[in-house]
Amino acid sequence: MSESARGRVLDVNLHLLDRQIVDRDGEFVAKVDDLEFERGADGTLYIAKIMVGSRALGPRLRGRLGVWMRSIGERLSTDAIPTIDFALVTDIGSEVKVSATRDDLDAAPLEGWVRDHVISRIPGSRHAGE
Amino acid sequence: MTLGRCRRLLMFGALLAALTSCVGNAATTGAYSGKAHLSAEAAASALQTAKLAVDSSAKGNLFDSYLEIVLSQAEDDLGSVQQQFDSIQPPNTTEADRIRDRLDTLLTRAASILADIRITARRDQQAAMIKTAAGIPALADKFDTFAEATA
Amino acid sequence: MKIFQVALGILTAIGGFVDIGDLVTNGLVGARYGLSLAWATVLGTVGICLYAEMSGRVAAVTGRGTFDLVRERLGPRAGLANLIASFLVTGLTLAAEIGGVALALELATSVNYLLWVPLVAFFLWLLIWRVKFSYLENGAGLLGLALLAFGFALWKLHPDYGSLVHQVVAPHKPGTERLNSYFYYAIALFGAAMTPYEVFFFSSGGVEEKWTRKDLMVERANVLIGFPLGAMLSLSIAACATLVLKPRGIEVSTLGQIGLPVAFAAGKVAIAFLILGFVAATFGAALETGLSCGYSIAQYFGWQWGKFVKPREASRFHLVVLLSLIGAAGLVLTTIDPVKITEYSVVFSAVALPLTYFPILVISNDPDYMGDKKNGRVMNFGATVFLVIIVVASVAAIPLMIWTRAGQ
Repeated sequence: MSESARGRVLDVNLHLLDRQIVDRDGEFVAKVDDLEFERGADGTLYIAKIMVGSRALGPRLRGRLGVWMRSIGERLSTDAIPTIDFALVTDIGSEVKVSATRDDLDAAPLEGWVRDHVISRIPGSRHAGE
Repeated sequence: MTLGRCRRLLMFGALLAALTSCVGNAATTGAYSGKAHLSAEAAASALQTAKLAVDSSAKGNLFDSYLEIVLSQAEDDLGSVQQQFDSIQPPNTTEADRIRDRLDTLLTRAASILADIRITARRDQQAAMIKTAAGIPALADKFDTFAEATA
Repeated sequence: MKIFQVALGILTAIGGFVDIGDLVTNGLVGARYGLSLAWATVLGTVGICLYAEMSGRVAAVTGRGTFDLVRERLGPRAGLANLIASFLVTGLTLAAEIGGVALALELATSVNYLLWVPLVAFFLWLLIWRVKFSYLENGAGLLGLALLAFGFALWKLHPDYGSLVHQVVAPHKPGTERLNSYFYYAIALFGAAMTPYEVFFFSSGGVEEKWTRKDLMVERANVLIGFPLGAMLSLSIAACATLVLKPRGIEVSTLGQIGLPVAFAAGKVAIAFLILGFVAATFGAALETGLSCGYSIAQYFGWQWGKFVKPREASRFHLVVLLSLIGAAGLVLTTIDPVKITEYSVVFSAVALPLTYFPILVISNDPDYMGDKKNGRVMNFGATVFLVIIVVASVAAIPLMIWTRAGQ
């Protein structure tokens, strides 16, 4: 994050949450499902990480749907909730751009699983229908 | 989802399905007559569909496969009209019995005509098929008269 | 070159407008109510033109599908409600379309429609997997023009056009019909014209085809010329039913009956075109609804989606499409009458409309996303009026369905 962006005050609801995260090459990564904060030395709250996935989104949805979404996520993975270091964010506009590539970020383990176990096994998965 | 919620949802779904499709009983002669009326109109519709298809085929305008499908669907429709009507318990009046007898007679004749048409169509006996179908307008008229009487 | 592109777009829009919902509902209503409900089709067409234009503009300006933006703009809860409603209705519509293709193939071959269902589902998946998006769209749309057989049949019937027009502009409910069923079918026609998936597909398709601001004129031509002409096709289906089926008291319950006026008036070649048109229109719509099932879920969760990337780069998206096709085919294979599935799908489409359309109005009005291309005042006025109509239709749909026992 550039010096001028550091310390910017954000309305996270308006500008950050539920935004599409886009990688260095312009490819879709995930949505900003939740945020993890930390307190700086001076006591102000800074955003430390972006949390991604159904286990991150679930708690933000009130009621039964939220519980349900979270439990699906828990069933699918017992690893830690995927996160993206907020230091990688290069721009916050209509999308949230990050400086790494999608593969480096590894923020969507389910995508990889589906790709390796289902989609790759079907012939033609490497052709974009051109 | 809790058991109570699940049960309530299922009940709602079942209620919705039931409300939109019930046939069941006809408590009064008037209600029974109304059902007979709808059945007569549906039966006439099936007959007229078959006639229209046969006429188009006679003009050379319809493929055999299309004709066959339309005819068999018309026959199925008529069959289910008869089955549904027969399954309704008529109220205990002579009027209701009279309605039932009359409609059943007409429905049986209609079923027989449609079966004949289907058979001749499948045997490629076009002339015979057209001849049988020529009897439909008269029968359809009878259904119409019946429908008017039971409106 | 530009003219060609515009023409292609318009033709595709015309041929792609009619789906199984329009076929069945217009045929059924024409045979029963004459053209006294044509106003509902016209109203629905105006509505979808407005909303498709908005959602297409969103795609051209932001490069993002409308569904993509719904969660951002309205929050995850509203977005999820939207997603669930849209997905379920679109899935039901997908089942109806698959059923429609199977029924059309049955008419052509006498082979029972159930046997066609797995084959149709497989081909749908295969085309979505391999064929370029624009080929799918243009191919299905152009072949769908074969439904002009209805227009041809109408012409051959030598109707009293004045009387037909009179029925449309001065609607008069037939005396023997009750008012509640009349309005029930008005809602059905409305839902058939304003299918929820159409606007989301249109905007996602815009991203697939990489529309930019420069494409706005083409996009508008597609919508404002193509869709109304497509609606004329719907009306010609109703008119044929009015002229041939209604006088005979034929009640429409099968796809075959809907095509009989063409056989009666026009002939074998026309019937061949008709069947081609049936297959193309329903198959095309099945492609669209199948893709829309994937678009909606993938866009809500922020997954990579679309045919513009390799399948392995949008794995979850393709998996959702595959599972949706399997689920929809499964529903048809339970032997529920596909015509019945269609009748329910158009009514439920009407129910889901407010949830799916309201976000489009919000997003296309948002200067943060749209810049100077946000809605003008006229557009907003029109769209808001329609939102009211949509809400009325949506609220009235289920009670009317119960009250009239699904239109009896």
